[in-house]
Amino acid sequence: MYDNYVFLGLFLIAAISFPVLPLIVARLIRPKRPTPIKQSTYECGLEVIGDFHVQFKIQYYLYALAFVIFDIEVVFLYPWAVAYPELGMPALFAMLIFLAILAFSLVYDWRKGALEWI
Amino acid sequence: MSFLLTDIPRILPEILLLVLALLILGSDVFERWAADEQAALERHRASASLAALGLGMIFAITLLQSGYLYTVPDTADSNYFTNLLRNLQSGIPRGSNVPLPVMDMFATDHLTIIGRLLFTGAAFLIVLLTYDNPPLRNPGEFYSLLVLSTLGMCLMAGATELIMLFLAIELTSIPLYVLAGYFRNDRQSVEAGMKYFLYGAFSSALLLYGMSFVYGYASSTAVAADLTALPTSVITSFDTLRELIAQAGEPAPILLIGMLFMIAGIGYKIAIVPFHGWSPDVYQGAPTTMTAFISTASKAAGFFLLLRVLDTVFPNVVGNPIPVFDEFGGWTGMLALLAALTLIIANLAALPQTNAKRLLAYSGIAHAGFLLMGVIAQAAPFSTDRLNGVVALLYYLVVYAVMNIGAFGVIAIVAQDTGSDEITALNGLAQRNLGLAALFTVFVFALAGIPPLAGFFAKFYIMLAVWQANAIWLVVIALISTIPALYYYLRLLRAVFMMPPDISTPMPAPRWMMASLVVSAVLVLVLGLFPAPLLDVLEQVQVQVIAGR
Repeated sequence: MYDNYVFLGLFLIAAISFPVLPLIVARLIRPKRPTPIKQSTYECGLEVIGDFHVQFKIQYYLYALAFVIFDIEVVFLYPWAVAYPELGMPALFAMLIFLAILAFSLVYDWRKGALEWI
Repeated sequence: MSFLLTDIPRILPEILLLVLALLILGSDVFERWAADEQAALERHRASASLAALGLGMIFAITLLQSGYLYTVPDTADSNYFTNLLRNLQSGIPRGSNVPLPVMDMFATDHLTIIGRLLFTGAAFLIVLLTYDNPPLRNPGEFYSLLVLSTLGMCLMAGATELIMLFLAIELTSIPLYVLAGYFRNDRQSVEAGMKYFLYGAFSSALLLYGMSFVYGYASSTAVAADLTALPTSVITSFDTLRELIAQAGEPAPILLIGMLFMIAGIGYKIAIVPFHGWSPDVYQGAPTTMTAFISTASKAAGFFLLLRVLDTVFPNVVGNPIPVFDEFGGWTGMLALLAALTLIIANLAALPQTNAKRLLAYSGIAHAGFLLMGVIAQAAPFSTDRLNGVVALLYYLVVYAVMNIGAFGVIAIVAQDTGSDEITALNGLAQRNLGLAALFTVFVFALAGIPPLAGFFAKFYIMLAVWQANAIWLVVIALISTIPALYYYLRLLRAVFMMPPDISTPMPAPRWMMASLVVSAVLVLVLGLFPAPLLDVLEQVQVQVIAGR
């Protein structure tokens, strides 16, 4: 039974050496001549401006979230519709409760202004 | 198994919690921004009172339903009230007669009921603590997230299936991430929310990974035993998993790895060493009332889950590699080691802290070590003439919730007045507000475990249970670890009583916050002096757990 675990061990060794080995090799063969400019912090080749605590516009994410809610609604509705003949009335009520909660979330989004683009 | 209409009263508290969360959210939907300061305050108060009333009602209904206070005798006249109560109490366990889980997913046994009472009660005390806060931006969101998290905790206590377990954990955690980072203009709060989220996501991944191993092992056993007729949803239920694991005989390493990952995943939620790294930062940064909630209810929910998972899925997993822990099999040896580490490291790390919330965070980790000892003790072979770990563990959880909410509540009041949660902010509290200082003394003495307060008996029962389970070395470590604990708890009281205050004006103590604190303090005293009624109730959980083995 333990033979199977040999493969697991091999995978583990491979998985660890995959990131670690290139780093070690690179460290051994690369030249090392640090200068203050090379060692300064940079951001995509640019100098850092300001603080990393920045606020960014959340609007897009709100749209994305609202979209995901209705995406999931569809994902649940399709199998429900297909299986409906077997499930019967209780499934109808369960789905109605689910849809009511989703509809409520849309009303909440709308009233709180999440659907307006500022 | 399909859902029956008769299941509705059995999950009534959960349904009511969901309705309450939607109601609170709905009550806040009509205005986008409050017009002025006064309107904002009124909206905050409206949401808070709705949440407090709702949670109080759900607590009362659960208590009535549980039958711990009063059971309708069969001979009673059937009038409207007895009928109602009889219907409510149908499907609720009587003694060791425990009904089957709802839809094979959610057990309504004694453990779940104790969990519901603990979580809704804690949430109620927390809502009272937030009532007098400066108005929040979107109070409806805040309180409905709090209630949703409570709902998740109730589901965690009752989950008897892997998928349900995972969903319950997520339903508990995701609102808590938002609540920890709720003050989004406060850097520490944002950092706390972010850290909590990252660690929480990581621990969920660990838990899922472990679950996949356990599920894979069990279903391959099912295939080998030609049980392919079992549908997927059945294999994930805890009872089936246990039977399949027992059928497979000697547990394979893959199962032990899966179990290890699951324990690690839950270990993050309950903040035991070495999975505790997030908790001081999160506890310090999060709004103080939310810290009180995270450190008590969420931790307790983790322990309910740990108890149920270890007890129903892995009771047969033995094969203990460390001979010192011979008294216990399998996971108990590992947990004993973790408990010892937790007690030592947390109590030492708490010594140099200068921030009161951070200090209480480390103290919370140390208490998790004690609670873990209870989990270990309940796994020892059962005998009727001694205290079982289940009772000790649940008693500790209840007491810990009450005293920790109280301690954080006092710090919340002080922080609201002084704007700081350092220990120095407590300086001269006795001169500024003697009542508050007295309450704080009660909570800190209880946390330190000084008789006759409930904290002492909680520690005593746990140590007694572990002692009777023959793990004397663990009791010795626990005893020694209470010495540094006493020192750092007394540092808090030294600031309160012996240091001069910066300003000598009296400190205002808002009414509802004080009400919550007084209730907590009375509970700490009463549970310490008259523990018998609670212990009798908890005894029934133990009977059920033993019957389930």
